[in-house]
Amino acid sequence: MKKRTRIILTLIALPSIALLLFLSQELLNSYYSRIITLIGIYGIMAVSLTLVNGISGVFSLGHAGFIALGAYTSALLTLSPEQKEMTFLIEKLVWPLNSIQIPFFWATIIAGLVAAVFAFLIGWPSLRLTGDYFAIATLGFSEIIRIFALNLNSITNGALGLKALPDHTNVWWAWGWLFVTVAFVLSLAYSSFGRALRAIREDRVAAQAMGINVFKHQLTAFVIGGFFAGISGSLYGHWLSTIDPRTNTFGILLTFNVLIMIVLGGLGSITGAIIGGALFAFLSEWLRFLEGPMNLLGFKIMGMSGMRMLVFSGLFVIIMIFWPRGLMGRSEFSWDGLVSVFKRGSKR
Amino acid sequence: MSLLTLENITMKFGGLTAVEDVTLRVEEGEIFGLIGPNGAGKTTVFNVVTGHYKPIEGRVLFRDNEITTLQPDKITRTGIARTFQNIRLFRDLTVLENVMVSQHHMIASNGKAVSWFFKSVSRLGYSEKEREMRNKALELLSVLGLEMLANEKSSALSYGSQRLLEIARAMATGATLLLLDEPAAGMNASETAGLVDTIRRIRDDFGLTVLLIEHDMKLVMGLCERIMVLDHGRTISEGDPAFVQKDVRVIEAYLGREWVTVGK
Repeated sequence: MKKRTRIILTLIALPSIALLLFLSQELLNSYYSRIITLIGIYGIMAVSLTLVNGISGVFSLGHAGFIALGAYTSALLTLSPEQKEMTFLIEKLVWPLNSIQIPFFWATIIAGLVAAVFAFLIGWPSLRLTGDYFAIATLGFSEIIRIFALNLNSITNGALGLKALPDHTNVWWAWGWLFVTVAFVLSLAYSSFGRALRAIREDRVAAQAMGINVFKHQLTAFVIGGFFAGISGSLYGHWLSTIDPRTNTFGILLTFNVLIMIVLGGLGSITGAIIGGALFAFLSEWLRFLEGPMNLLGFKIMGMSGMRMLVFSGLFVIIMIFWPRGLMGRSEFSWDGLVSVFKRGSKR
Repeated sequence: MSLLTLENITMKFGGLTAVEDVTLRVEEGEIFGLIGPNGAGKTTVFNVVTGHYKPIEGRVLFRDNEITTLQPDKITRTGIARTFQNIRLFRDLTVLENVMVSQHHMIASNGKAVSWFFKSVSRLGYSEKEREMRNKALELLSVLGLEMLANEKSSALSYGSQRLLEIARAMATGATLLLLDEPAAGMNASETAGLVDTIRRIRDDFGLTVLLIEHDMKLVMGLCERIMVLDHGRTISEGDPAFVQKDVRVIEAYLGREWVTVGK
């Protein structure tokens, strides 16, 4: 396929996606539109983690820490002073956070920057470790963030968390940021810099022997991953509209959910990360019907909570059996690839 | 002035002395062979030169600059590149990408890194640089006869081609001194003969200096202009191929003392 054809197809596809999003807003009820927003948010989380874990081969388990940092930062910046006054019951919020309120967009940017600064501070000492040791160090970091959030009453409101966040996150914010994230990470991953990252992933000794400063490259990737994790945290917080430091919202469980997304989609593939995120958001909502009472072959079954997760994990096992390297492997979406899939189909 | 000088290098791992008091000079433009029985410390010498190990004693000089304590990536940027005994290609990258990775340090080195980073993210003025790198990589691949395989995954190549690709990748760093660690290991006779020509050709055409470790004595004696023999971490002989072949200490190291006395 010619380069021009590909560009034209892309130029058609992007407004089409925007149109579909617009139609979904108009035609579907707010429940579905919330799920579509969640797909966008999960997409950003997954793409930012795949840059770190999939492309650079740094195995980080600290993603939830950066997401939590982003969520808290932007929530503290978008809540109105009166609301903060009402929410902070244990201790008063420190100055100047108690008296400022800024627009959602800037709050999100600052959330990303704060997460990036922390990524730098964490990455600087711990990227000297490799493999499992680095994973444990980052896992510890994300837990430290959560424990701090639980106890730093004058900033995070401790165990009570932050409530009644303005529901700024809509389809446009989530998918707009997803577009920015994908455009940024794609052009980075498929440049000489991304090639160097993949070389480090394949063999760090050889990469260093070819003149690549392994530490600087991995740190850069880690900081960029942290930045977009912070962005996704801001969006996620304003989607949930409450933030609290429990393990299953901003704790370790979230890291593993994002990890499942990128492994499902194919570790190292940006397309795969988006597909994984979408699948995860869709399935975790759709499978809810399993938890209600059902009529199975004439037998009435009581609703069982947790049933959803059982089927969920079963599905993942099946996917990993048939696609051991994830749905996309390490390849990306391309128009030529799409055409060849259809050609293969028609030959049968 | 020698291109590469090793002064009294000693390297120990715990109680084991891998290299002891080795002094070595490689002159510009020559093909220098480093041989010795298994475990003699040849690869350790390579690892000291390329900065993977820091020697306990002694200095390494390249063009009269001390490089003993530099990190491997810095050493490569000063102009020394190596291949590995146990092939270490970037297996999931294509042949072309493997060679292009080596050129990355030239555009991303100090000072230029930030501006170049924004260039590659925004894609402004980037494709030109990319094309330049691609063309240079293709040129090097054709020198080694691998241009037909440019878009294959490097792990799909035959053993012999993988060894050649390692040489191409090392050359792409812009190095003037190549360290080849057993370049002919796993090659058949005709591939080895081709390799001898290739090494000589790249030395002449690109003005390189080659330091190589090899067990194939036919290759070493035919290709190298000077040879140094190591045994148990010590230098036991140094000179041109004819001299080394006749040296009693070398024969002793390879075949044992008994053989020497019987031979006499």
